[in-house]
Amino acid sequence: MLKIEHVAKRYGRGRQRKGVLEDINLSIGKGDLVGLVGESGSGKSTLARLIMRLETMDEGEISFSRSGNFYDSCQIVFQNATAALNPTWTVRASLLEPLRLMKGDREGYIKEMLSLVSLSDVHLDRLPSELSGGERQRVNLLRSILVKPELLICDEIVSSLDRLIQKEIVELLKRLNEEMGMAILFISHDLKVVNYLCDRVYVMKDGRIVEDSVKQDGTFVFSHPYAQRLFE
Amino acid sequence: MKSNKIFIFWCALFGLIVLITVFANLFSTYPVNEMNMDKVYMAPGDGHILGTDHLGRDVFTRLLHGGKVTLTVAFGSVLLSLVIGVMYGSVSGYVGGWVDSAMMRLLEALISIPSLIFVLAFQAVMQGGMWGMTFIIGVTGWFTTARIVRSEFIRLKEADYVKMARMFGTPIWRIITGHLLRNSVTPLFVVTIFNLAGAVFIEVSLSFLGIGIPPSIPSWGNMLYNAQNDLLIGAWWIGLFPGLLIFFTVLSINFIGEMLKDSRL
Amino acid sequence: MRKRQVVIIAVLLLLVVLAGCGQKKENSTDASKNQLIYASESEFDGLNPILEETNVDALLFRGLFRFNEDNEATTDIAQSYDMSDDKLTYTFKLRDDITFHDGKPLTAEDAIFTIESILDDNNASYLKSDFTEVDALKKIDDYQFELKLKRPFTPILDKLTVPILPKHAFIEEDMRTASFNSHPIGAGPYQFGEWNRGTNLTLKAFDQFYGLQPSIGQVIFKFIPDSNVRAIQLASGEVDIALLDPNQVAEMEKKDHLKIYDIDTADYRGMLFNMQNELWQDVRVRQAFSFAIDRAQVVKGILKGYGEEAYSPLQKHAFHNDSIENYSYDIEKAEKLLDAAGWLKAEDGFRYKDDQKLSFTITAPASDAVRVNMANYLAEGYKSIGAQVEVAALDWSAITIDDTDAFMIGWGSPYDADHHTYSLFHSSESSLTSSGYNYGSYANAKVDELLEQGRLSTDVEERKASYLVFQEALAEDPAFAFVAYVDAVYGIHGNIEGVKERTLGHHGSGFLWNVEEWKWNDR
Ligand SMILES: Nc1ncnc2c1ncn2[C@@H]1O[C@H](COP(=O)(O)OP(=O)(O)O)[C@@H](O)[C@H]1O
Ligand SMILES: [Mg+2]
Repeated sequence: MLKIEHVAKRYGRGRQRKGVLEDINLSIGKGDLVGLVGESGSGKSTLARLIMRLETMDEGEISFSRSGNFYDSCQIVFQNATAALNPTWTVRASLLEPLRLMKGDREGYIKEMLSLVSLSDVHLDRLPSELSGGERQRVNLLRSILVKPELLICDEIVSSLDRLIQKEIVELLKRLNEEMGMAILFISHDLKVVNYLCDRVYVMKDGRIVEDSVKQDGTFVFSHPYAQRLFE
Repeated sequence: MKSNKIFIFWCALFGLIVLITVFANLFSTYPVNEMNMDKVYMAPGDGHILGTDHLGRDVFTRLLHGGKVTLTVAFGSVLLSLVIGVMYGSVSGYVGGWVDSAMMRLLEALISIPSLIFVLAFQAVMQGGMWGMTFIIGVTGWFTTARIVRSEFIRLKEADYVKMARMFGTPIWRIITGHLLRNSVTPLFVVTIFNLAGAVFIEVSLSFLGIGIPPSIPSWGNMLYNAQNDLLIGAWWIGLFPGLLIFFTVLSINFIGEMLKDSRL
Repeated sequence: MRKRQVVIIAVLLLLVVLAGCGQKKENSTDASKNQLIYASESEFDGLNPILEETNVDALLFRGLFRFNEDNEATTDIAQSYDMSDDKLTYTFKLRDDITFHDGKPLTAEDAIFTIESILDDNNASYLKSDFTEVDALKKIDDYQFELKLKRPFTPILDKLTVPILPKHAFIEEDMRTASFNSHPIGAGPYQFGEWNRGTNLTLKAFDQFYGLQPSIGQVIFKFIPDSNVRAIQLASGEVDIALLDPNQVAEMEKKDHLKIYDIDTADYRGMLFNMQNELWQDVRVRQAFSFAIDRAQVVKGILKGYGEEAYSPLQKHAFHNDSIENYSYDIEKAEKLLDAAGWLKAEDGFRYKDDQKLSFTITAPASDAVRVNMANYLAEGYKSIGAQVEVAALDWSAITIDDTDAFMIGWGSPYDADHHTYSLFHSSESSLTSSGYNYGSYANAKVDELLEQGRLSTDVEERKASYLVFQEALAEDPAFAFVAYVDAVYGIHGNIEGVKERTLGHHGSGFLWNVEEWKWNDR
């Protein structure tokens, strides 16, 4: 469904110019649960932004096999839920935003979906500042899946949450994957979660993908020393 | 909280001034322009609590009506400069790139010209009445507003929720009004408050110099302008009361603005 | 920026309060100098007396004749003159002991040159209409010349009070651009000293003056357009003489070092109807607006009693006619006239005709507080007859009188009846088509005829008759709504002696007419 070939990205100009991504190859199929791990600064978010067409790449190609409006079939959830929600809008307004063109009972649809992320009607009239961190991230997540994308990119969406809520959200992603067949690219530096959630994983270091591995018998096997060290 | 009380005090003072001027007709004791040549230059006292002026008009009454004119001009011009400033700043900040550079270059050029020159130029072209004055102050008073809107937009348009909105296909006008402007309200409000004080000040100064509102319309500035003639002959009340009122109006607006700015709402 | 606003307002306020508490600061210039500082209301473009009238003329220049204390023309540079029996030829004999400030003698050629220059259209002299009856000039010898008139014209002696220009100063020079205009040479008691544009003009006593040698060594004209500044500087001793606004007089009278002269003038104020405005075409409308002025209140409240109600341009003249319509305050008459003219009152209290509201703007010079006050008072009063009248108080530089609806005009001359009548009311003097002062393009055939008769007849009684009828005709078909004559109230340093009062002209001009006789009794 998504195919990334020989993608490179550089920032800056002239002498300042520095490569952030080099020769990235990656693919995600329908319904795949794919992890992307790597230490901070290795280029994960940059890659996510390229996939989301928020920036242009310098080399290579990214193809997405669905026609129609790209953002109807591919969505992203940003790491910082506080920044991803307009502080002056109620939860309801934020959730209605992606449904601008939807016909029918939007309000009803939202209420139906709220239970999916364990939220209720009472949250609808709240401002983001009146929600807890976990609730905010769930609203943020819910907003991105309202359009029922086929691919969802989650960029470190659980990293700043406590364990219990992390688990809740990871379970939710798993369910979405199973019930709706939604493919997920789960970006994280938290290997435990990736290990639990994903079927396949790419390991990034300094802008390159050093290894990819498919889960066998509940674990990943790596040959690259960096990846091995990472997953120990 | 102490500062809260002070804040309420200034708000109440300003509110009171606005109120008595808005309802000038209710409070005034004489028709505004009634001239009584038998009662010229009466000191405050019997029948005229703040005295009369050189044409025997009641100073108190004119003070209220003058305030109505001055404050209408101030509020009107601030509204106008808000609209212009928001539009200019929005385009500049949202579009960015060379458009932004060009617009900012132009804005800097405009700011560097003393506003008095603008005002004089405008006055020459369109003989200022009250609305002319409002127009002039409005048209020359939007620079800071535009700057603030622009810098807020530049900051906010990189926000994640704006990126999300673009991905959701939210129309541009909705992004501008719903996301960008909506989140610029506080700084906009503060700058507008200060603009209001500035507008009162400009009306007063221009009229005081005799190049503002036509002398037949009572405004605080015009009253001060006329009072120049009266001081010499000892009629202090004609200048003092408008002076005090202007002073407290500008002071209270400035205090309100200052406190809003500090508390950031 | 914000702090500055607050500070400025605080300072303003402080000024108001301080000024209210009475101001001190006495005498700042050195009192020992034998000089006179005059607070001049305006500066002048140039000092050529045939191009522009200034209050300096009386000091720098002299003419063949000179107005005496009774405003009669008497011989000055002319020693004597003869008039032929047909009243057409005058022969003037000039004094032979007169020199200009540059030491060159003043001769008949200079006198002839002056009149010819006035008549020369290239020079566009404002005095031209005074001399149009001159037919020919002939030099007899260095100190005698002959002047021939087209028709008998007795005011010619008045007109010959015109300053004599030195012919030699204009050799190969254009009158309009001559260096003379900024560095004049005359034969008057004072000579040009120094002119700092925008600040002051200094004149020095001329020690070769043929008349009484001036006692005061220097006269300085300090240009102070703002009447309050003039009054403040008079009070503080920075200037020695100033024309005062009526409402300043009471305060100035309290100053021990000042003497107040309340001088009768021929200087009136009125509202000029600009006949180019459709509104004034109907004489009844002009009459109505003349009736709707409460002149007594103007004199009392605005002029503080320093003035008199006005109804005629010649009210202060020997030829005045007091049996004409004087438009005493009568709202009822005014309303009837407007009704008759088709301006009918609507529910909103204003009058309309053919859906057009009865409204106009009175323009007044902002620097002249009395005129602005009058305009405001008139405008307010006109409300009661259903007219919406605005006041535009503008800087002189922004005023073009012939573009206004109505203008607060000021005129008046204490001299010959022809002065300030012909050039104001004769249709040939329209400011649109000539260099005359008929700013409202007023035209009335009868008035034209009477003004011509008045200027051309030589018999005093005949002339008087013409001017009496002229006043009647003008009152019937008013060009101005006359408001009031304003006294010239001068504040002068009490130690100056020799001031001789005489009825003054426009803006109190002529007060300095005998400065050479003035002296400081303490210097
Ligand atoms: N807009 C940008 N301009 C310049 N450098 C950037 C920009 N965005 C990211 N980088 C750099 O690219 C590298 C990768 O960043 P990022 O993709 O955020 O890493 P990760 O998400 O893996 O932590 C970092 O070194 C970062 O400094
Ligand atoms: Mg990242």
